[in-house]
Amino acid sequence: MKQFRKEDLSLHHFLKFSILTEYGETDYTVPLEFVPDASTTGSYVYQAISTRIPSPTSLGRGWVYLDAYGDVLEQQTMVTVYDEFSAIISGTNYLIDYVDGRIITSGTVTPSTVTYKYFYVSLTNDWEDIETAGAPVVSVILDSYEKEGFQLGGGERIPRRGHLQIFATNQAERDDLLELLYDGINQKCCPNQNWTHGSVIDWNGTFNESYVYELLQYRSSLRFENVRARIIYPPLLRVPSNDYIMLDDLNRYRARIDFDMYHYKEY
Amino acid sequence: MKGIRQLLEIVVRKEIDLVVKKVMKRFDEEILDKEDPDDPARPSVCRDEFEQFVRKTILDNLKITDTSVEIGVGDDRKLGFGEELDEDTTSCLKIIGTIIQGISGIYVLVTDDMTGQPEGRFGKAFIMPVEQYRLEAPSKGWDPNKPIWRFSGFPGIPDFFAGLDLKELVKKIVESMGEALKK
Repeated sequence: MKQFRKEDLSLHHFLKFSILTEYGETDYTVPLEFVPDASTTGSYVYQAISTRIPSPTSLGRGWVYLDAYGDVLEQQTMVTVYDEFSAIISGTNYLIDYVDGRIITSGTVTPSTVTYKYFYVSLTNDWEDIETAGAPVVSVILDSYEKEGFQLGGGERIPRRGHLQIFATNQAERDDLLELLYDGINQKCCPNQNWTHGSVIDWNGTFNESYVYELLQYRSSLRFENVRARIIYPPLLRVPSNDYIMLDDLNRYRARIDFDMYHYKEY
Repeated sequence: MKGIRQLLEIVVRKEIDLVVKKVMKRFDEEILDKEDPDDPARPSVCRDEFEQFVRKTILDNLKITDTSVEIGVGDDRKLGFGEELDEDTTSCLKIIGTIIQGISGIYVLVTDDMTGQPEGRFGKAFIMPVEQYRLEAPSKGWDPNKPIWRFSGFPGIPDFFAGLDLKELVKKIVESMGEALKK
């Protein structure tokens, strides 16, 4: 994995667990439905059927898989599974697919409901994903960089120019998200992880047991500068008169934060 | 001999098209290239108006002192870059402002012709989510099959007015100052 991807992952992880944790929501005693098509002998899959909008498992959301930022072990308090008698099932009896909201057992227990914490604000990586994710959504875009020397001899200053696009469901939410994210990165730095054994979540949505929290030597911090926040109001969205019934419009409550994220690399 | 400030002002005002050209080059390459040639409200129809707007805003925002020249391009309130939109704007500027900021989702562009509102400076073009357009079209007498706006789902051009290369203008200023000093 090259450095640019590592920094992108580090930034996502930082935003999700260090800043947007304020927007974690709990969905209580959600029914679990057996999914025969996804199950095999010895592996029984149960899907949580949530009525929440936006869906806790929609793009860029998912269940919370760490108890706190910086943890390397799977959460112990964010997901609780119950049997049909509302008794708690021990976490040793099942796996959790945090992305799709599923419980996978070996058949020794029969889960019935689940209580979990999830990310209310979707965090996506591409402009194309914003509509699919649905508001509130924050899109993280690192779009350009130009490395430059910073001292005599070897060494580089590596700045990445990026921006956060915020799409909220109302004005209050937009303003809160804008200031929360601005304060979260302005004059702050983000740990620059090495992702030696991959990201926290595995390809199948389960916790990556091999995950280690390891920072890059001599460049462990990604610093933010030139952080600027502003509200966006696309002017064509103005409707000229009252004889239109406006449907939901994703672009109605938007804001944006521009920033430069940099670190130094010595040879 | 004229003062430095006066000389600077004369040179910058005379050579302002060097900056306008840079903006319009970006406009041609990054916006016109993506327009729908069959759309009657395509950005190329707005090109002249946008060019005049750019020139006027540069002249309006020009700040010259004895030691510096500050150039500002664009007008946030007319292009709708801030929360407040200057109502004294035009459909063309609103279209371009929206393109620059980007729109997530699929929209139909409702033009001045369709709303029956006056065109030009006080035009009333706007965009509607495609589902809403299909809902409203029959009662408003619009073509229910009007194509979606080509700039739907467009991420915008975040740094459209930033980082303009002003080397040519600086060169002109230096040359003119040199000439003036010889006299």
